[in-house]
Amino acid sequence: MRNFWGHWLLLAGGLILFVVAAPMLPPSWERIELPQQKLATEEPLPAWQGPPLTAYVPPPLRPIPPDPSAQAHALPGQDAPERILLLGDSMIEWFAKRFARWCRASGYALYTVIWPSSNLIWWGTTDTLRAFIERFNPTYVLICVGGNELFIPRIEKRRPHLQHILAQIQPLPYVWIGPPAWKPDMGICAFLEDVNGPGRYYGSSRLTLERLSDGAHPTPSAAYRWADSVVAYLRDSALYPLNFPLEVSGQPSQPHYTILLSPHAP
Amino acid sequence: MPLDWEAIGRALLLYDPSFPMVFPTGSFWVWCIIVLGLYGLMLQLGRRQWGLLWLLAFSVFFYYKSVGAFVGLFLLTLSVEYLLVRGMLRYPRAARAFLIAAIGVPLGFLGYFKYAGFVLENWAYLTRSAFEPPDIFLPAGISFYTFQMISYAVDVRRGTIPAGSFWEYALYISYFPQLVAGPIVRAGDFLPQLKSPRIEGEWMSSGLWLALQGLVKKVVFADYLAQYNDLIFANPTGYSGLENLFAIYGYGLQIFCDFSGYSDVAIGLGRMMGFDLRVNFTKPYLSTSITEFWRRWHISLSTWLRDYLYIPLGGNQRGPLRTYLNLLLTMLIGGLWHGASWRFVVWGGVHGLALAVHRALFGRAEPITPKPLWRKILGWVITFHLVLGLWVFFRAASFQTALQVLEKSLHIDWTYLIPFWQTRSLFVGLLVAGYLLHAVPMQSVARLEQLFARSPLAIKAVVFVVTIQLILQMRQSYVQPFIYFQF
Repeated sequence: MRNFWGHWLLLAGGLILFVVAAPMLPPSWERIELPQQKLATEEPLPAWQGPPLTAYVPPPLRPIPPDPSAQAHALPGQDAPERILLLGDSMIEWFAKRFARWCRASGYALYTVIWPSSNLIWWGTTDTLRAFIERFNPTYVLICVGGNELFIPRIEKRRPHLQHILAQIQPLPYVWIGPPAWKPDMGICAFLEDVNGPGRYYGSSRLTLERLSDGAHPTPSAAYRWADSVVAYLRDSALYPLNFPLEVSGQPSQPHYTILLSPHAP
Repeated sequence: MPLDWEAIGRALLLYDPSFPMVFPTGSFWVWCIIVLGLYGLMLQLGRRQWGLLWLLAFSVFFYYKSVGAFVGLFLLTLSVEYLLVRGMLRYPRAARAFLIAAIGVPLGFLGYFKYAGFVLENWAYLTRSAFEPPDIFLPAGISFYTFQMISYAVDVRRGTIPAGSFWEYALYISYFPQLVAGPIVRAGDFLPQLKSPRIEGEWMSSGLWLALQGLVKKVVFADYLAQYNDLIFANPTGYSGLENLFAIYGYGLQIFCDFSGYSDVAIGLGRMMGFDLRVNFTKPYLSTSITEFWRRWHISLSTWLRDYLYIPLGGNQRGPLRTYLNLLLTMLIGGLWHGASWRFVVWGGVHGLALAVHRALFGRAEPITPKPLWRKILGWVITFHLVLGLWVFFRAASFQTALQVLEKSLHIDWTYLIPFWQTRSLFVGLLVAGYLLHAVPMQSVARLEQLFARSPLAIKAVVFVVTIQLILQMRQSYVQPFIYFQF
């Protein structure tokens, strides 16, 4: 029995040791998730210091050419090492310009598709996304949809639509840019984060953004800061990181190609 | 910071469904040290019976901490079962009826709690009715103790074991290390050990070693790998083929570390208390055939199925076709034992089919002569990947998800391998390390265990502290239940 008590003391002593030393132990490495970019939302961000912004001119509506041979024509930037396709609803209009500046600095080609008023159902019940992927042949996809579904209850019912969207993107690397919610949402942000998983979802709703007079869309300067945060996430925390520089200067730019779709349900 | 004694008391004494008392929790080890200390004291004083009663009392409390009020149902089943077995002995003419009842009572409860929802769901589907099957709570461990109760009744009827006293029987069924997730202990192995628990230094050391090994498997490997695997299995179409493939390999290691980790802790705790519970896993992924796999994986279940199902069905004594059918039936039931879902039926069915095919091709047992190397390698590759592929049905939430995972993993873009490694380096590291450790021969593991057992207490203390620190470092803030708790 002597050995029994020796071992018992070892167990009991170990337990006491760990209880006493608990506050001094290093934190657990539990999370596999990649860190979201930490943003100081409490403190007001400094005003935009860049050059004055040019007036916003909506890009022309350029429907996809019905002629399949049009795909054979080289699009601007198709020789770039990384071709990024940015898709989303009206929230990304100003975002895309600032993001285009970052892409230009990195040598990436940016193609933008804006479908105002669109939602998961629109994108998830059509092959619009697949058509643009075939047209632009991107190597990376960014998608920002969900801003029109912030206050939809039982968002879980949109899962098949979301899965159809993701199935169209696969196997390309992608990041879902969460909607920049202006009020607490009814579950879509958590839903998108859960389905896309860490490294593939950027939670925009944690940002405090100034809004236009409609109270929903970010102001240009706020959209620029939003784009800067997303760039930091793509560079440092995304599952498939993009090689963006730490800083970028100059005026907001235009994407290589922009398509504005009619704001109607398919 | 002042201690919240009320919260500590609640955590130690009351049932909380969010925090069941499982091996990797602090509350379990606080109790374990108290239980071991008092048990050792009673043995030291020569009060073996008191010690066993104390273990029984704690086992019932442990089950209460796992399932709450359902402990009442457990005690009721336990008592009725014992009365039926006693009745079987007392009234030999009605022994058959008593035996049928002794098998039927625990099976009836298992059927209700585990399969009623499944049956009603299928019935609603077939009749196209709008009936919504009720959500029935499944008490943890019911599948395990049901099998133990059945084997006890059958063994008593066969005369291979004495019935023993009620307290011995109750401790055999409810013994806390194996109660909720096995291994499935045989009464013939366990009851004789109650007469003289083997409290020795080497056993204690070996038990401690196994318990630490099991905790490392569970917390460091299984729980960490689970985080990634859960992401992929939740939405396989949202991830690339390479990521799906890694999830398949990851889940193979996760389920092994999770379940064999639990078994290791259970066997280790058993040894610390002087009882020998049988080994449940012997390097299953090194198997070179599916038959060999089932001799190495969840041995207590496969031998139970062999002794109480396969052999009573006729085993291999009624011609080859009947043998194949028996194998298929046994594995189908083994699949259903794991869970009430068609996925488990397919999982068990394909395993049964593979066993039948292997038997048809290679005869009754593995050839006694050593196989040539190429056959070993080929056999290993086929067996390993068949087992991993079938685990997908085991893990996925639906058939559709399982097929999506398998389909995606067939289309791999290897250019993502480097970015994957850069992003998931700890996952990949653990995966590789886990499989490499699995390949270490049993003799080397046994030598290491002996080395630990023979080393001075101070060395053991260092190993103990370092291992526990590693476990704490990798542990998650919420309790990850063992996979086999759901069975």
